[in-house]
Amino acid sequence: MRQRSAPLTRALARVSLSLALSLALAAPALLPTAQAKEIQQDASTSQRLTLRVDGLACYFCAYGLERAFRKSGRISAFDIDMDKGLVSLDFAAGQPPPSLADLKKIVHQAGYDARDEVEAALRGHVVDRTGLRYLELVDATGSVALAASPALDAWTGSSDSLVLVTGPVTSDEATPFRVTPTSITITE
Amino acid sequence: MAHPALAHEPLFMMSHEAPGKGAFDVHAGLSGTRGTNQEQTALEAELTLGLARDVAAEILLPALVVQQQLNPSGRDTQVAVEDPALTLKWRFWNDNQVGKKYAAAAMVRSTAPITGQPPTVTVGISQGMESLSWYYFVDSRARFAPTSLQQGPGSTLFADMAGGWRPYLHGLDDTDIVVFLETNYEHRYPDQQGGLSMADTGGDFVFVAPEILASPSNRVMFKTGIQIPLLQFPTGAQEAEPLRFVLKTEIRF
Repeated sequence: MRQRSAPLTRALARVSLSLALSLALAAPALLPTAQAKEIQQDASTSQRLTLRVDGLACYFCAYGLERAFRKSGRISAFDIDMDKGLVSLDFAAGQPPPSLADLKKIVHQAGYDARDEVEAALRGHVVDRTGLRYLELVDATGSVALAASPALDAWTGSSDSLVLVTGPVTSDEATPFRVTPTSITITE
Repeated sequence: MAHPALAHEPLFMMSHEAPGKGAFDVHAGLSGTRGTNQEQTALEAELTLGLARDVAAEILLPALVVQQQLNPSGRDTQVAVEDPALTLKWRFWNDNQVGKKYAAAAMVRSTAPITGQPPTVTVGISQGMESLSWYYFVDSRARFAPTSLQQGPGSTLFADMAGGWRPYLHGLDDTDIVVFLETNYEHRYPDQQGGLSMADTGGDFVFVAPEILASPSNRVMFKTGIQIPLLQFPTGAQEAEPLRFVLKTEIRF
């Protein structure tokens, strides 16, 4: 085996110094992006779906997922809880809620896997239609079917009340998006 | 020349990452060698395209290479353009879990002979794991010297492994830092000249490479690493191995 040459040692020092200087020069770019701040500020608003997504290991890698959702034109805000593997989406004003099949397809194409565990936090008015109850969404298009649950059975409020309905989302061929309320809270 | 490195991938080996369908990333930076009488610096740019969920194409644009020969009387400098290269990667297996993903990928890479050199083909296979705190990667690659090569390096076999650690998982808008330590093994067949193997070329070499990857946002990452010769078993009398370095930026669109 050859011994390491003295020039190599000197070069190691020079390269280390150069890399350190380069990183220092790049420091201003290490500041948070405006886009990331915007996402967090939007995180408390409006119609929200929370998906459990497997394979999320860092924010940089997960940008592909954010890009895919934004490209769909269906969401206004996006947030990730890495520790719990949760992705939160606020769907855009004027848009109907995306179907679970659409959401899972977007997640899959980005390289991740969405579980069948989607939680909704939706605002609107609970209305009766031919014996079935729906949530007429505000700041969004359409209404969402509500499945029977103790919280819905206990709801006696008026259809004029603006409420926040939370609960798991289910779907089948007849009803691609249905929420089973676990809580119904009047918001005004 | 460094290997294409996507996201949290080690810089001197291949990895299993695929960026997903529709991805478009730009990589730019410097790589090179130091520590011997011949120094090289390459200015490189790469594009990564997500062709499908598990298929990616990496296009290495022609690199500008500055070579300096250090003589007692001074430096002889030569500037050249290196062939571009196309890499296709297929992630053929993956297992996604909460905060963790395992995957394996195969890749093939070929240079495009715009400078008159015959194309060089590299094939490889990789497996690894990424999580919120730890990473590991292993790969094996073979770079085949062209059969029509009149003069140049012979084929090379590579075997690499790397471990990575994220000291702290910050939030979405904080700087994320991951450190890697790679170990690279190269078995080099003798250089070729006029169809003959040249003496005093080839051998077995082991390197170690510490690296830092810092992403100030989820769209920008700075990567730097140094590959240091650790063990050298050259065939015949050869110059000592140089130090290799990489300094790159990756931007996701």
